[in-house]
Amino acid sequence: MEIFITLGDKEIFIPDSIVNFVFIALFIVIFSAIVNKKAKNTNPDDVPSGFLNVVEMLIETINNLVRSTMGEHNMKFAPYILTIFVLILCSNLYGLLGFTSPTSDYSVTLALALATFVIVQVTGVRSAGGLFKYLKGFTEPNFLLTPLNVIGELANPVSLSFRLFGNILSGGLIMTLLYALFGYLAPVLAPPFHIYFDIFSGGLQAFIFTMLTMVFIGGATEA
Amino acid sequence: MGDLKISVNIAPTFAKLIIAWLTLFVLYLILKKLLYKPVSNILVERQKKIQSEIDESKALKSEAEQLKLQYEAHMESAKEEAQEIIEAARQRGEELRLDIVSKAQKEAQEIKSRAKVEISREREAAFQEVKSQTGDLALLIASKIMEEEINSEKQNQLIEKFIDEVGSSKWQN
Amino acid sequence: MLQGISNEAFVLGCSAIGAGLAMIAGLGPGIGQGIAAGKGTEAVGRQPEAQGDITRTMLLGQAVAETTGIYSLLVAIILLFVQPLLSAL
Repeated sequence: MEIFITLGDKEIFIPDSIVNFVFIALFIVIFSAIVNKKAKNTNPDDVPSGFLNVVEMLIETINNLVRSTMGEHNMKFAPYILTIFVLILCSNLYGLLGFTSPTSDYSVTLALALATFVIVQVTGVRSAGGLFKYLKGFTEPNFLLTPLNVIGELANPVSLSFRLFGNILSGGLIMTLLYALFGYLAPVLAPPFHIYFDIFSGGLQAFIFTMLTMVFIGGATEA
Repeated sequence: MGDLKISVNIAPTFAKLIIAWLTLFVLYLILKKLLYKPVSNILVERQKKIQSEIDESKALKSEAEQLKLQYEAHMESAKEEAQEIIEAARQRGEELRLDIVSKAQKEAQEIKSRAKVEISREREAAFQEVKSQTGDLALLIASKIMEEEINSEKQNQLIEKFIDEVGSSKWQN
Repeated sequence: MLQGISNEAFVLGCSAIGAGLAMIAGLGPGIGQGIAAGKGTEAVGRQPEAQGDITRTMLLGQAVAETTGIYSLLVAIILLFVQPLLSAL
């Protein structure tokens, strides 16, 4: 599924990874609408049941993680953490369906990492109490180390995005190569590799991306 | 391996980035509104409810403990009271018994003394009677024996003497 | 000796060799992650009640340590599949 958008005389090519990304987001929106409807109809006194229970567990886990890594004062970031976790997890697991994972497109992971980067910078400026004070933090402990500090700060989104991208892309590549290698035996031999490369690695990378996001944001609020 | 098609999207383009950002942002807003808030509301409310129930049960427990203490104190005092009542009843019974016994003893004493008096009076009466009858009898016997020999004067003297003899302790034996 | 080999084939072959050389960097993260996992196991053995925290911290550290390996992997993937040197011909 690839889309060409024509803006005036300019043609913009939208590859299937981005289309899949939007598609996954739509799916999550529909799912959350169903959960929302169910959540409004349930009494908090009732024993939780069905997939509402799973969603509750997920949100409680995210809340606990945010509380333990970022502190009680950063609970307002919990919805963002939830969003990127669910989005990355679904994107990583999307490879199971035989399509290309959106996260194996560098634009997607770069966009996610840049969003985190922007949030980290804004939070850092806010908690430092002004742009000048925040920028002054880069000259510590010595003004000679300023370039290193700046590079260290800029390396965060790069490593964050490349980590996710590299893991998912290499997983997909290895799966493609394995399918070419197995040939007709692929339906029998491929599932264990799918379990490792898509489910285990995908879940782990989603978790690590969110954890690192939490650590970065938490570090920015402390400084 | 001719059918191996591998495409790597490594060059980020501006259009893709913008679409991904927009998707992320919109999804963030929607998830926050549709998923995060209601579900965490449910969680918070449930936690509140559980907390309130725990508090309530704690309060109830302390109340029950207090009640138990009160009840125990009540029981203790009731036991004491019962003991007191029993003791008092016993004491009263003892008193009553002593009273009755002494009364009965007194009465018996009275009866005994009355009987003694009666007996002595009876004896006196009997003695008197015996005395008078003895006199008469002696007179009769004497008159029978000595009809001729003794005149009335001597007779009287004899009777007197006899009666005195009878009245003395010598006769009594 | 190189006669009969086109420029494209030469560049592709060298790219493949370069990719293989780049993946030597995979040694470092492998050793590092192994050490981290070993230390994590030790920590769990010492404090089994803190297993969740230890695992989380270990995974985080391993993910950061993996960065260099991922970079080398990306270099190899780019060399093999994007073939940037071909367009430089």
